[in-house]
Amino acid sequence: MPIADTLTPKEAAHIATNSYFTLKDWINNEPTAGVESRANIHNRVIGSGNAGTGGHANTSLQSTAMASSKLGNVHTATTGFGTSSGFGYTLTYQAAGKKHLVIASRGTRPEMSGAPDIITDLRAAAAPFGSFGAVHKGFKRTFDSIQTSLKRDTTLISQADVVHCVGHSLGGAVATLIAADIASSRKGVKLYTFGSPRVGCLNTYSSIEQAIGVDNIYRVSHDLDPISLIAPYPYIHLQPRPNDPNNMTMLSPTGKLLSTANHDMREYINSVGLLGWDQVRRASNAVDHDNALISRWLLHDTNDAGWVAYASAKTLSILFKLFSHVLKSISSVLILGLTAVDLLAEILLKGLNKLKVLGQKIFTLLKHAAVWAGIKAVEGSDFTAGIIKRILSKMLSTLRTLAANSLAFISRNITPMTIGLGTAWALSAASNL
Amino acid sequence: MIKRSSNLIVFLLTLIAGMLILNTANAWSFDMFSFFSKDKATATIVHASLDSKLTELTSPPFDSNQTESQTTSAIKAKVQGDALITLTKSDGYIETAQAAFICESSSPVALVNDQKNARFDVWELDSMHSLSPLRKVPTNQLSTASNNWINYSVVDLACLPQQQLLVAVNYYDPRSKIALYLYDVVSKQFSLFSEAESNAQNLDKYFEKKDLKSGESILLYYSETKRKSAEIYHNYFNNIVLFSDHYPQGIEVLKLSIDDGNIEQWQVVDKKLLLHTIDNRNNKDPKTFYWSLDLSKVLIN
Repeated sequence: MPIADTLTPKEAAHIATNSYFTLKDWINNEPTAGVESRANIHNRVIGSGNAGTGGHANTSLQSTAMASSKLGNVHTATTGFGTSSGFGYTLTYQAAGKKHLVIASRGTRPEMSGAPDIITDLRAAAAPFGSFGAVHKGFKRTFDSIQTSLKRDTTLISQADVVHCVGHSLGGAVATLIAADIASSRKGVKLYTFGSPRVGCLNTYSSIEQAIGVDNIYRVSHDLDPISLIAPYPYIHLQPRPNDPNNMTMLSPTGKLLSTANHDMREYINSVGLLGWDQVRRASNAVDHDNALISRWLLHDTNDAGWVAYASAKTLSILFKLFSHVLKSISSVLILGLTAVDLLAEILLKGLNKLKVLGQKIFTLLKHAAVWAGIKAVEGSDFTAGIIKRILSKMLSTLRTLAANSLAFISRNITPMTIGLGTAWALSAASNL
Repeated sequence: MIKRSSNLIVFLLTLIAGMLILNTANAWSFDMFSFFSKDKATATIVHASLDSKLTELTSPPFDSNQTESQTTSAIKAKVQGDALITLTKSDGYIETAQAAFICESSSPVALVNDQKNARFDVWELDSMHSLSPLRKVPTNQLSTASNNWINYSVVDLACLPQQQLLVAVNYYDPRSKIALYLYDVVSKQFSLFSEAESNAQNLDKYFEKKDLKSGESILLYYSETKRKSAEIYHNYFNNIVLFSDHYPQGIEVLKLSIDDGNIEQWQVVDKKLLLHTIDNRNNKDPKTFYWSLDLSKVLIN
């Protein structure tokens, strides 16, 4: 392997993708509660990779240096109201005389009847997570439910020289909690996530980073993957700053701004390709470049907000990019990979004085945002908490729709991801202003 | 009579207008969220030089006794070192980012991935036996934009007639893309053959090549990958190209639409291209086809 003791981006991406095949009948593209047969999981993880009729790409590890890995336990977890289903697997292999253990966790599959994964994602309140701080309650519950299954690997975990925790989407969030939990009692833990939502509240990210070690965290996302943009502040990603070395936010593949396709593991596999981690880091630099270009163009002198379309997801994407760019250029505090929604939530939490600190450009942006939200005739000094609250509500409403669609063909009246806490927190704070 | 006709026209116009409005609304919705583009029907194209049509067969046409001549595959060697590189054959797995691709020849060259500098180079080799790199070959640029690419590496290589190589290149502009280039060993020139995609069902597969007894090579590659639903993707075209003395730059004999299936199995027998294809877009009701295409007008030998 190119970096000692580390999975390559391709290996990590294939492992994350294959974790979905533990879910019953996902191989046929018809997931249901339950666990897939071990033979089919083996086929998809390290076998010929062609079991099932669903039309999934072959992502078996046979085409990697991990072809001789051994499939260990298949894990189950509980989502929704007690629905048990396949949630991932362990894999063991030896390299350079060291014992390696991989723990793979799958993401949300909203196509399941009853949508138990979605109900998990809806549990947006915070819950304490050991000494690390507060984390998302739904993810914590899923983490708790996988413990019974994970206990079967206690000996393997303690004997392994390196433990790799891997996951996509919800699986990335749960992998983060598994990695932090294991890292609290031992060294040699590595974490690889793709399109993960934010897991920890406020400074929790920092204590998790300290336990795992910043160099052992590989957080890959697409800049316009709706899931990686939520939950909003006060949730914060691991490696949140744009210049954090292992914040590998890559340019989204679709080129169509916010898009559900940007969340597919298939697109993450394509984005990391055959690159090494250093090259993925280099590729991720292109994201800032794009934002700067768009921002310069849209903030050009006139302050004319004619380009924004009422409640449009496309122009919301542009607003996100603009806020991100302006935040980077004017703020040393609010640069933790936050979005427009986060900024507005924080302003509501901490008071309107925050606006004055941010300078004139923020008023230009807010004016655009007000037009976008259908609020007319707002000038710089007239931004009240109520107006910001209305903008935030509209943004969250649009984002909610997008996130729902990111999780496939599901009922759009269900909030799919953890935007509840940030929303409730910020809006209740606003009522006190 | 006139009144009835007028009513009918009004009714039809209203119906058409309603359909257009619905269609527009849907189009806006799809565009807004940028996910599922419409599953448009696409047309298969047979090159005019063939002067023949793709003919559907009722049963599998394959001849199990038919033996094609041995396909010459590129050799993959492991690259070690920086300024002074060495190439080593290995039976084990070689990471593509650390690999060199070589076609067997009396004056062999290797296309060597240089992970450190995020590019690949062409090297002259001493011999196929030693694989000792002699010198780096000065070539033209892959593209006028390649200086701005974040990374470009060889992911597969096909050995073609007339000392030509077909090179599958993964480049980042800054998004990840695949392109097929022709490299002429004699003139040391790259030329873009086509933008392409990996096989939607086998992501490590960029093309498939068959060498015919008569000395020609036929290549299958994939293009226009589209998202059908979450995590499910399809190649909307399979492309078949003939390389021969007569067509050293290749002639695309068939651009097969997914409406006629993606190629599962293919063979050339008696100057006929035989195909077994499946359209799996509806995985509960996959459609299977068998096809025949007469290549006699372009297979000169």
